Amino acid sequence: MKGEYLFQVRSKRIRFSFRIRRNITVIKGDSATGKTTLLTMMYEYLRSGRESGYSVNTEADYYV
Amino acid sequence: MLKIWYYGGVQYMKDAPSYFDHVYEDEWITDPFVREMIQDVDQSTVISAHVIESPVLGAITPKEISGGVKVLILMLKDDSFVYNMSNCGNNCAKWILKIAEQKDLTVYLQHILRFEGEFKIMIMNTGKIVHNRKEYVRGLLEAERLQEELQDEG
Repeated sequence: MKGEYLFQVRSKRIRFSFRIRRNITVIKGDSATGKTTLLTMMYEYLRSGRESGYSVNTEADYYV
Repeated sequence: MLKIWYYGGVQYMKDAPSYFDHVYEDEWITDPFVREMIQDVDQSTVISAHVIESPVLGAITPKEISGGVKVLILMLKDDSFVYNMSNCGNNCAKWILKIAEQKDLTVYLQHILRFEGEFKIMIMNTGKIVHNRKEYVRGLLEAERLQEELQDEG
């Protein structure tokens, strides 16, 4: 992987913003810090686009 | 006492948060000890058996609490399975020890969860009892070596 990708994932209440720089990036943290919520938002956006109520802004292709 | 199988030796529940969603009971959520866990780990307040107030997500149901706290509740309330303690973050560790003060609790672990202070934990792979972080980390590494030897033999 070359360079970096910015991800901006939003709902009405929550906003995530992070950059991916490596082939493998691990997102870790304590329980209840948003890891599953982030994944759910990204998955629902893949499934339904804007109709999910979420937005995902990135130049990367991603899969969940 | 807390009893840990490290990296093998026991069948364990693979997706405890999903299992929780299908089996939890209303009275589990309103249990005072569970209320405390949800308040501490999720920073959320139990309003009733069906409503929890989250500072981030707003009003949620028990199905939307964190995976880690769901596993804690199962450890406390449902002895049907051995649960994977690696589903929990470090902020759950003190609650696991508190639950193990109330009953014998056998769990599976596949990473070094951070326990603080003095405690009594049995590493089931070797039968050793550990009492502090240094002994605990050494105990898990010894268990890992033993598991690798067993796998090589198998």
